[in-house]
Amino acid sequence: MSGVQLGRNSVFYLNTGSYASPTWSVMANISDMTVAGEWDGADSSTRESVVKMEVPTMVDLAVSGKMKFITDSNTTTVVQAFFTRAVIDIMALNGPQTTTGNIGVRYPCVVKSRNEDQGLSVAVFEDVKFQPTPSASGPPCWVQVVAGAPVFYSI
Amino acid sequence: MPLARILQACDAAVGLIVANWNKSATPMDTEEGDGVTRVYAPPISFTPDSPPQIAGRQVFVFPGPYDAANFTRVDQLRDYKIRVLVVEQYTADTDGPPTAWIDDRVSFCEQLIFNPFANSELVLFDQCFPALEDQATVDVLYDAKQLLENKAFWCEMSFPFQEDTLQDGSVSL
Repeated sequence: MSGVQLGRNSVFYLNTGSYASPTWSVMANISDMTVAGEWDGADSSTRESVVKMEVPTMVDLAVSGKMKFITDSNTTTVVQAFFTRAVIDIMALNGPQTTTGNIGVRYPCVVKSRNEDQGLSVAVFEDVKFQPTPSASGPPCWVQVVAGAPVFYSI
Repeated sequence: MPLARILQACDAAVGLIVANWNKSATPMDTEEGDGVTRVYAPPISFTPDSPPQIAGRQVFVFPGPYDAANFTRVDQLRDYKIRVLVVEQYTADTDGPPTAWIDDRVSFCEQLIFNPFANSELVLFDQCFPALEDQATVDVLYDAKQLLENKAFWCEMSFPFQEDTLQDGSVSL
C-alpha cells in the first residue's frame, strides 16, 4: 500500500552472532508488537513561563509483543532466556533492515516477562517483554537503515 | 485451476462421512438411495409431483463462508464453515414416522457426523483442523414441520474449520 507502513511488515530480529558482528535472524512468528518510547522528565519549569517544562532523563525502550510458540531455535532461545536470565541481542524495526529509512531499536536485553495462555481454545502465543539490560558487549541503540544497511546510534 | 480450499475441505468432509458411515453397524445402502454429496443447492422434493423425490438417507455437504485473519506477520488463520444437511423421508406405508425411526436418525447425526467433526484432534485434510474458538453446532436437530407434513427427518449442522496459510492463501505443508 503506497504511503503506508504496515505493522505486519515490521521485522523483529534476534542476533545469533556477536554484538560487534551481528547475524540478524528474522523471527517471523510475531503477531502484535510494540516498541515503547517515552522519556521520564525532570521538571524544569520556572517563573519565566506558565508552560510546564521538562528535561528528558531516562527513556523506556522496552519491546513487548506476542510470539506464536513454535519449536524453532530462535523461539527456544527467547523462551530459555526468560528462565535463565540470559542476555540476548535483539533488533525491532518497522520494516526490513535492508530498506532505507526504516527505524527501530537494538539492544542487549533480558526477557522480562513471558505469559503463555494455555486456554483450551487458543493457539499458544507467548506474551513477551524485552527489557534493555547492561551488557559489556554494547549499549542500547536506536537504528536507522541507511543505504540499505542498519546503522546504530547511541542514545 | 486447483479446487478452492473450501471445496477441498467439503470433499474431505464427504470422504470422512462416507468412511464413518460404512464402518457403522448400518452402512450406507446406495441401492436404497443413500448418499453423501457436496452440493450447492440440492433439489429436495418429498412428493412424486415434483421429481426427483428424495430417496434413502441423503447427507448434503455445503461450502459455507470463509474469512482470513492475520495470525503472525507472515501467516494467516483462515476460517472455513462447512454445513451439513441430513434428510430422509419415512416411506413405510403406515402412520409415522415412529419415534424409534427418528431416534436412529438423531443418533446417526450425532455419532457419525457431529462427534467426529467436533473432535478437536481431527485433521480434516492437510493441516485443516476444527476451529479453535468457533464451535461445531447442530443448528436444527429435527424440523417438526418436515416431520409432520412430509414425514421427513431434517437435521442441519455447521462445522467451522481453520488452517494456517501464508499471506497469499497458499499452504505451507
